[in-house]
Amino acid sequence: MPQIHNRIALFRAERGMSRRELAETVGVNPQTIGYLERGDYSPSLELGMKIAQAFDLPVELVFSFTPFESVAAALRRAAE
Amino acid sequence: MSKFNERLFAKLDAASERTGIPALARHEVRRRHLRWIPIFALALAIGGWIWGLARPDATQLGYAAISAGFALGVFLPIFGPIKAWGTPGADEFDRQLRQRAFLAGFATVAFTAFLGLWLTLALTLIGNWSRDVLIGQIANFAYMLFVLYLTVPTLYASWTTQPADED
Repeated sequence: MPQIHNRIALFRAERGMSRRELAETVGVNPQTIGYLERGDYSPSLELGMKIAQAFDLPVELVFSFTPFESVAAALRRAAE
Repeated sequence: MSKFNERLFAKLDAASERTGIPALARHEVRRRHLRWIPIFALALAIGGWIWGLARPDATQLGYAAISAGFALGVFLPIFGPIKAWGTPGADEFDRQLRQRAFLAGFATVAFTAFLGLWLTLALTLIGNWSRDVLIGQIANFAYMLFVLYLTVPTLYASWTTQPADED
């Protein structure tokens, strides 16, 4: 099964949201958010969509089959 | 109530909390990754079974070792990382982990049962065991398989996942 990469930790930090708060919003345990952020677990479609909805973003901005560009690289590219 | 009694009851309450039983009654058990206890329980159970096979005249010691493994094993589903069917608060990760862990557990039990039955049959023929000895061996073997069923899912779940912080 291909690994699903995500930017949950990034968006959570941006919004100043704890794992517990996000977990309560999407209806899972806080540890499950930890497993998702570490890449130890690939979420179901339902959970993936709930997380994207919690961040008010399209699901493809939160999850991807290919690794996401780092924030530093994205900023560098934007500055050019 | 006197100060002495207040302090005494507070200490007794704290001591009872430390046993974990009140938390168990309140369904607030803190589940942990138990990596070494299942190995110890398995070593006792498998060692006891092998002892019984090697010394068919003294299977009681093997039975005692399997019982010790069983005594440890019964606590694993309560305190280990696998949440029981229908546990309130179990999410999709918990369900998937339980599914994978029990698949590993059942596969181990099935494989061991297959090997154990043929081994018992072979040793019965080689050692010319009596009916009573054979019944004792089969009882030991069934007991050991039950310890496998109790311990392997927790062992699998504890070694394939790393604890994740809540915050």
